[in-house]
Amino acid sequence: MLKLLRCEFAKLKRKPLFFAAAAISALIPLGCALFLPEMQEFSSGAEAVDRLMSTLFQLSAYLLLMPAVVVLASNLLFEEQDNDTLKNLMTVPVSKPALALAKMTLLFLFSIAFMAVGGLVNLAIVLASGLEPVGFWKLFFVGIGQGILMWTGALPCVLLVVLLNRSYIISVIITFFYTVINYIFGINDYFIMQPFGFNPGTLLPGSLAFRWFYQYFDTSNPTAQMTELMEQISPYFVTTSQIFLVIVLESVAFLTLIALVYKHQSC
Amino acid sequence: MSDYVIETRGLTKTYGEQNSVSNLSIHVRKGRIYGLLGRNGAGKTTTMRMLLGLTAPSSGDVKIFGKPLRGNEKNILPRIGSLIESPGFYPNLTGTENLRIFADLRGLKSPKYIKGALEVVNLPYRDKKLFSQYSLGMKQRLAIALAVMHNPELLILDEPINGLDPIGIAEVRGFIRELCDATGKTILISSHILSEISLLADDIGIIDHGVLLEEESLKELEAKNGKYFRFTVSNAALAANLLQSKLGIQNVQVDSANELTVRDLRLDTGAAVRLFVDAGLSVSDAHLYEDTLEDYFKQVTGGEGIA
Ligand SMILES: Nc1ncnc2c1ncn2[C@@H]1O[C@H](COP(=O)(O)OP(=O)(O)OP(=O)(O)O)[C@@H](O)[C@H]1O
Ligand SMILES: [Mg+2]
Repeated sequence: MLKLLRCEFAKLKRKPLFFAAAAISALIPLGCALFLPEMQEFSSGAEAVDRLMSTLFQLSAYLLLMPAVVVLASNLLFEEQDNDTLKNLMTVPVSKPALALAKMTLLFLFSIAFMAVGGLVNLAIVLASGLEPVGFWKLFFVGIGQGILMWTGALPCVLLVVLLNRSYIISVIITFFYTVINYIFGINDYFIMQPFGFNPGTLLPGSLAFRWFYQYFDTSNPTAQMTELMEQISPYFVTTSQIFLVIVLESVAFLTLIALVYKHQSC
Repeated sequence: MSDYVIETRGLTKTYGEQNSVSNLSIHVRKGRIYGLLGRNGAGKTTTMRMLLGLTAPSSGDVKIFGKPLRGNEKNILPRIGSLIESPGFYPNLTGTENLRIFADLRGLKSPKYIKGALEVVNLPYRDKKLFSQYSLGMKQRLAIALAVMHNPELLILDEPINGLDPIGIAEVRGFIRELCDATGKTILISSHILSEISLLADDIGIIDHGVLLEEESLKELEAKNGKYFRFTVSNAALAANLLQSKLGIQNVQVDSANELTVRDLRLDTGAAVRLFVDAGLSVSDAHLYEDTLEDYFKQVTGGEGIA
């Protein structure tokens, strides 16, 4: 398995798609910091950290990381078919489910790296503006957790793409809709305010992620509007162990399905 | 216990209605080069894919190294090197990087395996050129390098000389011959080029429309089907009759009113001519012909020739 993962890394060499995706993780926070005026006047280091990190959580993760994972997954999973290398792998022999899992593991690491890079760029921005990065490391790890959540959330979409077997246009359309739906659910009261359990608010990554990361923001000097919002949604916050449970269950289920579908596709 | 490295029994693959391979039983002996000869679409690739477990047979079974392939893939496949149809590699990597991936998966740590394999096919080690920039022949060479890199006991090569220039073909031929002679490897090679197979193979299997028509050693094949007599006489039917009744010759075939072919090699031409003349026939020609393999191929496949 480790060998397969190492080989997946080796295959990334000179793949522009991957580098573009990796570059975006650093460029988006930089772009926000440089061009959005409200990102330039902070009253305190804590506020700066909060604002920058919430852009990362609410914008980059939802609108970039999730679709990137799906698109990269379809690129990776169809790579062997496209280049006719499957026969060379199968005669080694390599098992197809293991190969699919190695590819998904690569994307897992990619998601973590994406959020870590985004976080570190934010840290650099805060430091560069001469502020104290108060509470940064807590949010940094929340960001990593959210990266994992977005990866888990992308799995159903990856499964769909694998099932549809390489029709690229349809994959992109599905990815687009899935991203938008999750983004909307992530900010929609109806889905956010559902108890932890078997419901869309828990099962969909968009709303689930929100119900988790939002509690970690600094709320020491809230505005009136903020207090009201917090009162409304705080009963529906989920704990880290609940999140962990959902991630494990969903990823095990979907990874199994992806591996099975991939295995039974012709080579 | 048989000493066959590959043995199939009743191997069949059906795609939809059509039998691509039907009831195929081949026997590849240890330390020999077995040539699978057939025209385009005869079922060579399909057969080889089934031998490697890449395609599941519709029925029949495959034994390799004396064990059923099914269920023993983990032990059997690492001992085989293969090249199936067109070379498949990652276009964004160089030849060396491509081989490194497969070497890693096979657990070959030392770079000497990659170096050695590239040397065999005359490709440079650590060249900068990407696989996508390779010429057809270079791609084919890299595929051969991949097949031999881990020093396997058995090689399954599907049309390995595709796309190679004449010098490359001669090199690969010499190299395959040497692998077999010097290190005792067993090699199954397919081709639609008869002359290629006859230059290289020890044993030949002829496959047509998925059916194995003939399986024998090149020597047997040459001996058995090499020669026949041809007579031109005034009355071929009468002459054939005389040969059978007076000399006990079998396998006499009347081709036309004046011509007949005799495939029974016990025939003494002198005696036959004397017999014909004594019976009042006139003999204008008596000749011993030698079949080419191509004629033989035409004969077994029922008239269709091969290049
Ligand atoms: N995946 C497939 N689906 C349907 N039919 C197939 C498939 N693969 C092969 N066939 C059919 O099986 C027959 C044998 O094909 P195969 O590739 O084994 O021939 P071959 O002897 O290798 O020919 P060539 O010399 O052209 O390589 C052909 O009629 C082909 O159309
Ligand atoms: Mg073929």
